[in-house]
Amino acid sequence: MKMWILGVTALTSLGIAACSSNSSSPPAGNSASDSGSGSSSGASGSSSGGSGSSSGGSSSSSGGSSSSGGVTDASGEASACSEGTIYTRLGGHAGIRGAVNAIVAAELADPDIVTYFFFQTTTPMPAEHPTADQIEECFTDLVGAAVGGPGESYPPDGGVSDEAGTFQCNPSMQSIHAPLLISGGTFDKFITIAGGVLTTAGVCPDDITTLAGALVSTKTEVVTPSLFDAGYQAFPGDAAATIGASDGAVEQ
Amino acid sequence: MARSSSKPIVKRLAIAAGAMVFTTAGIGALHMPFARSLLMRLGGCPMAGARVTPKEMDNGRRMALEVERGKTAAPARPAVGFVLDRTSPADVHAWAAREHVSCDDRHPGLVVCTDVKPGAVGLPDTEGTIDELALGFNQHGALANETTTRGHLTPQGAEQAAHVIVDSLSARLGPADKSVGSFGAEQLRGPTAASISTVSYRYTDYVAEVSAINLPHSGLSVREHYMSASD
Repeated sequence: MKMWILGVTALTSLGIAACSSNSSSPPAGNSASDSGSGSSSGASGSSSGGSGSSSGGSSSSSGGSSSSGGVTDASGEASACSEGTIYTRLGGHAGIRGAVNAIVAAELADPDIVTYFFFQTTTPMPAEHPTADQIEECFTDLVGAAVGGPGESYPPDGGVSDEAGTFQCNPSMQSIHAPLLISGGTFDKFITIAGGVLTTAGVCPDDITTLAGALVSTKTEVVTPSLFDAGYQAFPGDAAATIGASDGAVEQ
Repeated sequence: MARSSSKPIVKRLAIAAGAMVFTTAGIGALHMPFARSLLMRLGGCPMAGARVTPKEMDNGRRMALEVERGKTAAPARPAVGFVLDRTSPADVHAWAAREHVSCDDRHPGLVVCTDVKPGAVGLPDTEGTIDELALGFNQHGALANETTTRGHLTPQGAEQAAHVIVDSLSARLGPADKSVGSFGAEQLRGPTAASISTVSYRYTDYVAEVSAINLPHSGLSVREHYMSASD
């Protein structure tokens, strides 16, 4: 009898856990839309733009830098756009991290987009999910590797770490985003916000073209196929399972 | 005598406990992956719809403000059609009914309206139809965050809408803290990165920004964002 009750309890717990992990936020960060927040629980103040972040993957040292990071200074003074590589023009890893932090902050400020970041905006944040700091560092590594930064790789060996522990960045764009049922309109809104941040930060136009091209090229992986032409939408919540069941986009 | 009277009570307790266990097991089983489609047909998990609440939205907004907050108070805090820190969801729904605008409560604390004619929010027709008007409310039920998005615009239409918005902000707030791009049709018809124009205002109690971009699939869009930073 006791074993039977234990079994039922375990089943219930598993079911509820499945429910709560069904839709929510992504398991890893590969695009800033995955990024959670700036510093949930102040986690190293990552998105605060200030403070040096403590994260730092195995391959990277992270570095909070300011919100304008190494991309440009706060006055909008652009660095010379013809010097060095795109990686150095972006300010290396620390500069990219600063830009990522600023993008994440801007995305969190959007009332639609923020609905995709339930766990990162919940206090206290559930332990089994990546912190905002970890997600931002994953995205920084992704961008660093995409622009050919020396020593950059994605996913980084050994994952990314902060005071909450170590997180292994997910290499699959599709599997990360599928449970979120992201529409084409929502993806475009994300790009619009990110593009505005990079432009305001004074990133060289050619470098924005490169970064925007890289981001836009992920649309087919990030957006749920049946929602490609759909407009803007907040995170559909549990409806995700229903929609996903029809096109196999959601892991059941 | 006492023993015989306790039997029905024990029996009822056992039945109640059994029913609770059975119900709990049933709910748990419905949440298992293999039964998720059945759960959805039954209307979904009632708890899941409550994921993002005004509390989480407030947390996200405050996290953003750690980066975006300015250093001086705003001379005014304009928003589209409504009043930051004052308008309630009930006000919005009453307005929607009055103006025949379609609005949905997408999440607790988030009302999204679509195809909003400029006249419905007191704007000139030159600003064009708002494809999406998103209104985020804080834990006290007051408007804290607002965005508008106009999409699939022609370069001329985007230029016209953006200039009316930017000029209006400039008249009330003065020069923007940051301004990049001209919002001109010639620039807006360019490729994605080259097309971006944006202005932003940052205060201790208010944030506003307007941006325009030309994206490969959806074309030209103009986005406005107004956010309270008073808390």
